[in-house]
Amino acid sequence: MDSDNEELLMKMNLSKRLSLAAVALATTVGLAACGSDEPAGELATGGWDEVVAAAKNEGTVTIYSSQGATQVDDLAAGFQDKYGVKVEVVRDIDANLLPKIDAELRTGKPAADVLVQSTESAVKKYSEDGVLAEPVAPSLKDIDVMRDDNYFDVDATVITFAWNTDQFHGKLNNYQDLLNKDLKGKIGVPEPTVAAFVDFYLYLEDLYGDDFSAKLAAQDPKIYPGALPAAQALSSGEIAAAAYVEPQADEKKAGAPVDWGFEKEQWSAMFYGSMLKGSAHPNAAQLLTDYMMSAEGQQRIARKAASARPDIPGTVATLDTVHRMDTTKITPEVIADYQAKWNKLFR
Amino acid sequence: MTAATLERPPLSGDKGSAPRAQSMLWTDARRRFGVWVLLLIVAFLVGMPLIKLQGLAFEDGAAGYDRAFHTPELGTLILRTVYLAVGSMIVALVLGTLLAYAASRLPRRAGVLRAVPIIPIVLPAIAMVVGWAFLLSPGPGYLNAALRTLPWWDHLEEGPVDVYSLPWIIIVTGFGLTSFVYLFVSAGMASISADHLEAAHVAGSSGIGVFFKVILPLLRPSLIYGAGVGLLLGLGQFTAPLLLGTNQGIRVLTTQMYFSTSQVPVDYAAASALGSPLLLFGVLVVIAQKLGIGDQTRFVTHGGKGVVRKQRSSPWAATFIAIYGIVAVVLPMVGLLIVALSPYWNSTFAPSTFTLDNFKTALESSDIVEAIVTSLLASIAAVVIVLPIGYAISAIMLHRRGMRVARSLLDFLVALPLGVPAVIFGAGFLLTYSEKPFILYGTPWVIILVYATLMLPFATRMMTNGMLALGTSYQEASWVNGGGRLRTHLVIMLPLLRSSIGGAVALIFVLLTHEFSASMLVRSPTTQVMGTVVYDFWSNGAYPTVAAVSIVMTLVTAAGVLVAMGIGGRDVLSRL
Repeated sequence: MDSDNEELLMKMNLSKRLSLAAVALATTVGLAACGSDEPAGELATGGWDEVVAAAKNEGTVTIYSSQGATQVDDLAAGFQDKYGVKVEVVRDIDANLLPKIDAELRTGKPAADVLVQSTESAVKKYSEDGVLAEPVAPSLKDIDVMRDDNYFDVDATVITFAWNTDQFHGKLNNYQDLLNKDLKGKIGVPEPTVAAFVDFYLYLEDLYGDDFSAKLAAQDPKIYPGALPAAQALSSGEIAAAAYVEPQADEKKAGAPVDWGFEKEQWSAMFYGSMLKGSAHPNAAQLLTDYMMSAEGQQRIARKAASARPDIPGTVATLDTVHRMDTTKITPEVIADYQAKWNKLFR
Repeated sequence: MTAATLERPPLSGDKGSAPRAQSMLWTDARRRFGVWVLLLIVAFLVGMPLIKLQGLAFEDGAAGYDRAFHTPELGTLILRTVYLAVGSMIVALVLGTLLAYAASRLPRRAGVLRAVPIIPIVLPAIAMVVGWAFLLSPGPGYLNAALRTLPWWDHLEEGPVDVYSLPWIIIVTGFGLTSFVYLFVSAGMASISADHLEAAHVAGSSGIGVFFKVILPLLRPSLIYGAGVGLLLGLGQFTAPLLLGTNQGIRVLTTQMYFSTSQVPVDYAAASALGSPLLLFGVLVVIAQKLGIGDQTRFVTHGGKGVVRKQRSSPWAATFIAIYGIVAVVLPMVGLLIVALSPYWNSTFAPSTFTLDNFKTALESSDIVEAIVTSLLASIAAVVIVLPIGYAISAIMLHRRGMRVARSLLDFLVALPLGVPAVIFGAGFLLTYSEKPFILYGTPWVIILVYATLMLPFATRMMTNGMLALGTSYQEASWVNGGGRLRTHLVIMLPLLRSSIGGAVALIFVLLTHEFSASMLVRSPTTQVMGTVVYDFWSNGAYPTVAAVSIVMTLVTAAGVLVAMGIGGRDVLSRL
């Protein structure tokens, strides 16, 4: 009995040691072995043909974009068909994308290859910090879109007001019509989380006076993070009118009871493209950029929007004709001040 | 107090091992070493992210705190957070306790209903919240539209219910928390010996009398624990306020924190400062709860010997649970299903337009499929990591000899993930693991680690509950017969705790497959889980796709539960 017990004890000590070792090993392996996802790629040297070949070799490319979801998907599908390179699309608003980009830059290995968003101050800072790759795409050469050596205009989404025809039996002619008392509690407005939204509110105040934000707030509006959820809410009848949506052509075509109008001077969100240094697919990033800025790419990405190229079917304007945010005017202080004012008024 | 008379004698040490004093000394030293190593691992997992966040909040002369104090309407924000926590806790405590009592009195034929109150845990919170929005949105909500056909509401253009208002955010949150309270109270109810209740019945006490005079007092530890958990979970609630509160600007501390990390420029320092009151309060509740329960062994009314006899059954018990099931589970699922089948969401219910296109869209999207896979793998990995840790911690906590400091520290650290909202942990993990030495951001590992950390209290608690219910007599018997500690655990405890472990695996797995709050922070846009994908579709895509993805997500989770039940036994959920 005693010897049995001792043997058992030894066995148990062994198994205890083994299990301790296993836990320690699992923890160490778990923590150490998973640092990297994919190694950073190298831009092919030689010429554009080499870049294209290397891009096809990379086989996949990741784009983070705050442009319209259907347009980005359409761009991705066209690119995939043409080059056989898979596009992973991450579509979100700037307020969500930029913190993620910041986090990825801290790791030194961004998952995003291409970034398209509308906060110029952010991309400008990335450019100054040296984290952007210089574009070599040929399609950028024949148009005037470079903002500095590293980032460029892509397109501008025209934003306007719209209404649900079941909920509101009339027509809105301009933003001031949103103050109609029948619409109290039934309009949707964007939350000014980033510079572009603040610029939009300041544009409204330019048009209709400094107290326009206050008047809008008095309408007791619902708050949406961006144009897409507001458009959904409009189609569903959750709100009767929206202050900040894309022209509702697709929704109307799909049978949703919606209609829209334009202010004389349209406001639009300018989108800036860039590529991140140290990403896994630098060649595919260049190729996607080239495609995005080509006539075919613009037809897809700038549908319903203002294009970087003239005479693109399906686009509504060119970049030189639309409102562009004045970054010298919309400073971080102006943004913070307006956000504070908005929070007081709308929350 | 009745329970006091049932107190077990304290363990008197290893009686049979006296002759091997030296060997014991060695074993003891090794045990101490093991405990400290475990403590270090837990301290790093739990403590590091919080330290990192506080460090950030105190940087530049506590600039984070300064900015947090200047958050607009800070007072309202805090007040709303308290309303949400207390309100949803009360809803959950009342419903959870009544449901647990009803479940204990179900007729044998209706035994299957015992699982009904647990279903809201199985269903993804985000899917339920979206389901409620489809039903009770003031304009196009189906239930509202139906209510407006009633004669006294037929003049309304919208409403009568506004799911986007604070009271309804509280109610929806409360439904979600009810399952947790139910679980804890049921566990407590199961350790009440039927003999006591039978005695009370025989002595002429009515059902209500037994409930208030015998059951409630005996349930004190479960109720206090359930209320504490409900309150803490309520404080940390994120899903319903985020999805329902945003449109009307109803923010609570957690959503305000999230928005601080989801804006340009991003402000982690202010976010972590905003979380500090929750952290502090959480710690206080944990301490108060421990004082309230005191010696847990006092409440064991059986030693695991034999089968607990069932209570007298009552017909209203089945009715009550069935009604709860219809309101809390069936209704929101129906809302989801209608929207998922419709081309777009509006208040008219039109079966003629129903289509499966939305499901096709969902299942053809590689993002969604990848997110499902990531959710499942990360959940399994986290279970594998957290269960042995939870078991070891429980064994250490219940082994009431020496190492007071280590045990108190462990106890405190393990409770922290309950007290600290998942959003804070998410932010802390994001910061800790996107920098050297452990760059895990963008990989599933950061998700796995945060999942394992969040589940520490659940794993430990469920292991502890199982061990407590077993009592110490089996261990003592094993020791008296010369069995060592490890042998006792492997040969005696593990098999006896099989159902507790199966239950823990099931609960932790399903909780993790739809974890949302922490995932929102640690996910990278290319490494998503199911909940974050649903949220992205809610923010970016059409509502019908959100509904379809939510249903897919629910089915995947349900499948996971079935697998878990296959392993842990059919009634594994109801025996949690």
